[in-house]
Amino acid sequence: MSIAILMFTIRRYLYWRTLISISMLILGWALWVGALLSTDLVVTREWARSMLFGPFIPMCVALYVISPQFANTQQRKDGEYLSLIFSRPLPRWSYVLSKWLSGVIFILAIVIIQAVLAFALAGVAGRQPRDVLDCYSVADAILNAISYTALIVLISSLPSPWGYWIFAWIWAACVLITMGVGTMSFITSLSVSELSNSVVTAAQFLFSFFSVGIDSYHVFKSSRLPLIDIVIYVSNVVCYLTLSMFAMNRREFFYAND
Amino acid sequence: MSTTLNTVTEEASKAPAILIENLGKSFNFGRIKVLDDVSLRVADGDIFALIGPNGAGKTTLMGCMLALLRPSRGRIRIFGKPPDHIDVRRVTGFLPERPSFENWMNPREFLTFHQMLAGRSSDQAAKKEIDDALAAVELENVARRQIAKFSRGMLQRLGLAQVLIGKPKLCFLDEPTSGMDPPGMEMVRNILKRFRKDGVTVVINSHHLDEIERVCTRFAFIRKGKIETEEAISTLNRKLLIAKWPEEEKPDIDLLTRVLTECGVTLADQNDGYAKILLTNRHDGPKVIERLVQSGIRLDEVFFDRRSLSELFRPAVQQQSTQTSAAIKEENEQ
Repeated sequence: MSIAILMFTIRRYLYWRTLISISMLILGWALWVGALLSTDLVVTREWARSMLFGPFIPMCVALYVISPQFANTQQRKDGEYLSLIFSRPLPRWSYVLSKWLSGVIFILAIVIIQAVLAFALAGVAGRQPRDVLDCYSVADAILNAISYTALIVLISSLPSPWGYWIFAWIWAACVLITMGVGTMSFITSLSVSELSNSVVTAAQFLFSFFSVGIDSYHVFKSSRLPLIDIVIYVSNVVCYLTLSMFAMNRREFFYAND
Repeated sequence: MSTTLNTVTEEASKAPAILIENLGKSFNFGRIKVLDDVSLRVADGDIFALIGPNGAGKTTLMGCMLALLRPSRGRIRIFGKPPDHIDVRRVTGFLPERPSFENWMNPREFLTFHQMLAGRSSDQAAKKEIDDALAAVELENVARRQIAKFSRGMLQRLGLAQVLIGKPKLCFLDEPTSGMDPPGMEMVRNILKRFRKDGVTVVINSHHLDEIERVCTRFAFIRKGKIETEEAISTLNRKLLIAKWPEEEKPDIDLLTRVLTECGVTLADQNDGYAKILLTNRHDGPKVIERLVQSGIRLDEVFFDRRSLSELFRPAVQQQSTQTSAAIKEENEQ
């Protein structure tokens, strides 16, 4: 683990442009959730788990803050950023792990902000805060963040065009399927509650292909420890990180540009 | 870390700083061959220049030496170790042609970051090292200014300051004077002189041939991925033969050109009174003179002259660059 990468990456998150972008994202989310909570929507645990702490924000934030290709804090886009870093005595696995850990730490901070906001929004909407927030939802959010961050580290470890394309496809597929489900639900005249649940289920289904989450309620409340779920979750994270290290080790960072 | 430094430098006294054997590098699954059978030996303490036209493979060669590119074949050893060895990286400094920095940092933060990456502890000595590096590139007055507000020349200076961090024993500088004003170029020259004095091995990739000639000890001319010439700057002497003829007996230029072509040398320049003949090898001189006299050309005076790197390689560089530009234009038109 590289302390330099960890420290300076976290320091980079506090750059005003990054903070403003993430604040806008959270504000948009809060408005959306607030609007939904003020309707007749029946808040189920599943809904809260997906909507309040779903993958959308961690995914965007992770992508935004982890990847040097996507982060907009660099002085020039065509410059040699990683080649300069890797000319130093920094093993590439160390870089990958440091980026992952810094992403996880930052997303945990976002999850805490989300939790506080969800708590406040529930109060404003005249609902019982415990209806929208419980410790299992927050635990799920943390576990999801660990998993999504590993996925984003993998995407950002790929050479630029591949990273961009994979992210673009995931993004496009999520938007299209979610919108498709929403439109279909609207056509079939579902209630707001059913419509919202359908969209969430579609997004959740799609994300499950890319990143495996874990239901902490199920883990803690079931009579037998769901070993298979835990093994799948852990192996998913380990697999993404291993692939990231492999991709980073194989990657070339220099090209004839004169 | 000091043990590692000592180990590497002790080995440096035995082995050359850089040893490259039959290096090849291709892209696009072998379709684009950039380096072809390159062999090179850079002695410890050399200030070594890579010169050549655009697209010759200089940057790729440097990338391979830094282990940022994986050679398709051949072998590279830096101080007797593979270039991606962590001990080699500990004593290596690198300035890319187009360094990219984090906008939000200031120079001091940036250098601290690289100091930490280099594995240096953050004590008083480390702080002094940063102060010295900033002073060496004359950025001490803007040490707290955000990098986003820097000009191109200032960024280049910052990149150079970064090279000084970690007290490198081997430096790779890709176009170090790019975007710099004349005082900046003077500053780079001074840093190189300091490196030379301290016994630091430096590999420079640059198009500023005059600058290279002033500071470098050896050079290699690369064209189309192959090293065509590799020699000491000091041997540039005696490669240009000046042949003067009597005023009233100007030779037939066609004949002169033909004889020189037969000898395998080039007529670099001529006027009413003399011809400048570029030799491939300085030992060719007597043979060329003999052939000229045999062909009936009367010569008054013949002597060797020094030729600059620019005079020697600019025509080759320009010719290749024109060809490259034409190829790019043709490709774009298609």
